[in-house]
Amino acid sequence: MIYTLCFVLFLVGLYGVTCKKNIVKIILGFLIMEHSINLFLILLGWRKNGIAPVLEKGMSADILVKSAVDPLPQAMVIISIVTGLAILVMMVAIAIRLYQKYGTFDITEMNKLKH
Amino acid sequence: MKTDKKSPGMSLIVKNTARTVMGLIFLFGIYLTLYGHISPAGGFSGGVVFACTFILMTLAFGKDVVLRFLGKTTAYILNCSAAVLFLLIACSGVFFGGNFFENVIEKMYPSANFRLFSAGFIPFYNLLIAINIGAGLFMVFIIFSVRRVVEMDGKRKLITTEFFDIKEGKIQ
Amino acid sequence: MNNLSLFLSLPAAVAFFIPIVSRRAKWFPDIVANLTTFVLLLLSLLTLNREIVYKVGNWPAPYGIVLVLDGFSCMMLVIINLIGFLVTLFSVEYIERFYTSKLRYYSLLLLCITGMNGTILSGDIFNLFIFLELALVSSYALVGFGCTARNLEGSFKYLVINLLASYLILLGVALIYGKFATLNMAHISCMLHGGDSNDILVLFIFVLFFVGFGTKSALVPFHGWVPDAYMSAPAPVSALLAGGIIKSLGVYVLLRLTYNVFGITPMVSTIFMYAGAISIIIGVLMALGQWNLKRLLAYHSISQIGYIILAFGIGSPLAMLGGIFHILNHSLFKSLLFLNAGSIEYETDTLDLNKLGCLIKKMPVTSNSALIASLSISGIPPFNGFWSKLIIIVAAIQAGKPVFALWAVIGSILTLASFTKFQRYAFFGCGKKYDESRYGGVAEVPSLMRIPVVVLAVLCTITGLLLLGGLNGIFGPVVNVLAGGYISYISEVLGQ
Repeated sequence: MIYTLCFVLFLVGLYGVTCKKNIVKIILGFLIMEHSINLFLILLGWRKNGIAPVLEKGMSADILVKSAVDPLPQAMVIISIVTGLAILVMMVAIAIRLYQKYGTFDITEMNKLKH
Repeated sequence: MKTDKKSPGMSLIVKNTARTVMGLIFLFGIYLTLYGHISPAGGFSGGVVFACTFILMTLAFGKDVVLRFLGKTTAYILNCSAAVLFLLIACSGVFFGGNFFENVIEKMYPSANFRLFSAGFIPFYNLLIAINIGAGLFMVFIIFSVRRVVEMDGKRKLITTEFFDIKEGKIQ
Repeated sequence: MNNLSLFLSLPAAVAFFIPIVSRRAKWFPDIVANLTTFVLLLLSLLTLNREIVYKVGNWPAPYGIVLVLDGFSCMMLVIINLIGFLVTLFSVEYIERFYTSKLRYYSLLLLCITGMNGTILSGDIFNLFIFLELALVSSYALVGFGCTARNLEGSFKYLVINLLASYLILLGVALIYGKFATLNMAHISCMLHGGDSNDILVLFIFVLFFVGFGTKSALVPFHGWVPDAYMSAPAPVSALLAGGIIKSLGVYVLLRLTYNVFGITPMVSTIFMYAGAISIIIGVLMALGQWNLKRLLAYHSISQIGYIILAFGIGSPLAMLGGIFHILNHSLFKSLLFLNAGSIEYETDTLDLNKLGCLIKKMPVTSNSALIASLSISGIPPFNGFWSKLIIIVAAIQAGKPVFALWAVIGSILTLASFTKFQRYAFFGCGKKYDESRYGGVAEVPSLMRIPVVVLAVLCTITGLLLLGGLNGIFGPVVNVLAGGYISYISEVLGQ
C-alpha cells in the first residue's frame, strides 16, 4: 500500500539524520522526513473518483460533499509546510554560524561541551 | 557578450528579461492573494511569489539596487506590523460581540458567493499574511546571501560582501 | 472573564509590536515586556476555580477549535505565567550585561510564552502541535542566543533531538486523523472508547506520543539534550526551560493525553513507574560528578521530573495529589536555583565550582535564597519539597509498591549529598584556602535581579503551608480532572 511507501521514506530521512556526519546532510534528512509526513497527510484524504474541494458556479453543495476529496488534511499540510520552512531557516542559520566558529561541517569535531 | 566587470549583477540579456517579467510575477502574486477565498491559493502562496519577485531582482541586478528599494530594516518593520495588524483584526471580532477569530463582517453583512468582495474578513487575512511572508522570506534571503564566511588573515569572519556577483564566487 | 483568547493574542501582539517602536527609545522594550507578563499573571489568577470552554470563531466543538480551561489547565497557566513574569524581570539587567540585542530577546521570549499558553489551553490536537512548535522554535533561538561556539553547539544538539520528537508527534497526529477522522481531543476519546480500544494501531500511536512527549519532558532514555541545552542558554532562559517548557510542553501534554484521551491502563502505569524510577536514580547519579554548576542543576532537573512521572504512574488519588504538588514545587525551586546560578555568573564570571568559594560574605541575598532552594529540593522540612516527596513516598507504600518508595528515598538522599557539595563549594567554605583578593569587585546583584529571587524564595517557604490550608480545596479540582478520566473530559468539552 502507498502508506507503507510513505513510512519507508520517513525511515530514509531518519537514516539521514542519525547516521550522517555532515550538518547539511542532517538538514536534508529532516527535510525528507517532513516531506514524507506531509505526503502521508494528503494521501489520507483521498477519495476514489473525487474532485477538488472547490465550489464552482452552478454546482450545488450536495455534489461537493458527496464527491470531493477531504479538504481538512490540505489545510493541515499548508500549516505544516510553513512550520517546516521556519525550522529549516533556523537550522541553516545555525549551520552557517557553526561553520564560522569551527571551520568545518563535521559534527564529530564539535565537542567543546564536555562532561 | 562580455560581462562588464564593474557593474554588478548578471549579463544584459538577463537584466532585460528580468525587467520585463518582474512586473508580471508581482501581478501574479497579487492575483493569488486577492482571489484566495474563491479559488485555491491564499496568503501563503501569494507571499512566496512576492518574495520570488524580490529575489529575482537581487539575482539579476545585484544587492545594492534592491536594498535601496526595500532595505533590511523596512522589511523587518513590514513583517512585524503585518503580524500586529493580523492579530488586531482577529481580536476585533471580540469588540463586535463575537468570539476571537469570528468572521464578524460576514455575519453583519452577508454577501453573495463568487464575488471578489465577499466572505468577510478572509481577504484581509490573505493580504496581511502575504505581506508578512513576502517580507519575511525576502529578509531571510538577503541575510543568508549577502553575508558570507570568508577566510581573512587566517581567521574566519562573517562579513557583508561588497558586490554580489555570483559568477565569480569571490569578493571584489 | 470569559475570553481565553487573550492569553494567546496579547503576548504575540506585543512580541511583534516591540521591534516596530523601539528604534528610538531604549527603555521601551523593558517596560512593555514586563507589563505584558504581569498582566498575563493577573489574568491567569482570575481564572482560578472556573471551567470555561471557548469556541474560536464561534464554531461548535467537533467542527472548530476549542480552548479548554479546567482545573489542571488553570494551575499550569498560573505556574507558567508566574515563571514568565519573574524571568522577564530578571533578564532586564542580565541581558544588558552579556548579550547585544535586547529587542529580539524580548520578542522571542514573549513568543515562547505564547506557545506555552497555547499548548496548555488547546483542546484540539493539531492546534496543540502548532503551539508546541511555536514555543520550541523560539526556544531553539533563545538557547543559542549568545553566539559563541558552545552555545551554538548546545542549541544544535537540542534542535536535532527535539525536532525528531516533533516529527514523531506529527506522525502520531496524522495517524489519529487517519483512524478517527477528527482532531478534537474529547471527540477522539469518544470514538476511541466507543469501539475497540485494544487495536494495535492505537498502541502504536500511544508509543509515538510517549517517545515524542517523553523527549520533551526529559525522561531517561530521551534525556540527552538536557545538560547541553541548559548549559548553553542564558540563565533566565534556563530557568524558563526548567520551570516552563519541560512542564507545559512535556509533562502536561503527556498526562492530558494519557489520562483524558487514551484512558489509563495497567500497562501504561507500569511504564510510567519504571521510567520515573530510572529517571530519579540516573539523574542523581550523573549529577554527583559534575563540577559545572548549570550541568549539575540540569541533571537534577531530570531526577525531579522522575518523581512526578513516578507519582502519576502509581495512579491513586493521593499519589496524583503528590505529583501535582511536586509540579508546582519543582517549578519554584528549580527556577530559583537557575536564577541564582545566573546571579553568580553575573558577578563572578565563572560557573566552575572549583573556582568559587565563600560567596556568603559578599552576596547574602543570593546565598540565602540558594540555601532555601537547596533545602527544598533535598526534602528538608518545613520547605515545600519535603511535603510533596512525603506524599509520593507514602502513596507508593500504600499502593503496595515499596520498592519504588525505596528508590525515591535513595534519590532524595543522593540529592541532599549533591546539594551539600554545591553549598560548600559555592557559598560556604571560608577556610584557609579563601583568598580575599580573588573577589575584589564582587558585590550583590542589582535590585531588579534581586526581586524575582526573593519572591521565589518566599513562595518556596509559604507553599509548604498550603498543605495545612486544606489541600482538597486548592488541588482538589486538579485531581478531579485527572482522576475523572476521559468521561469527565468528554462531558465537559462536548456537553457545553
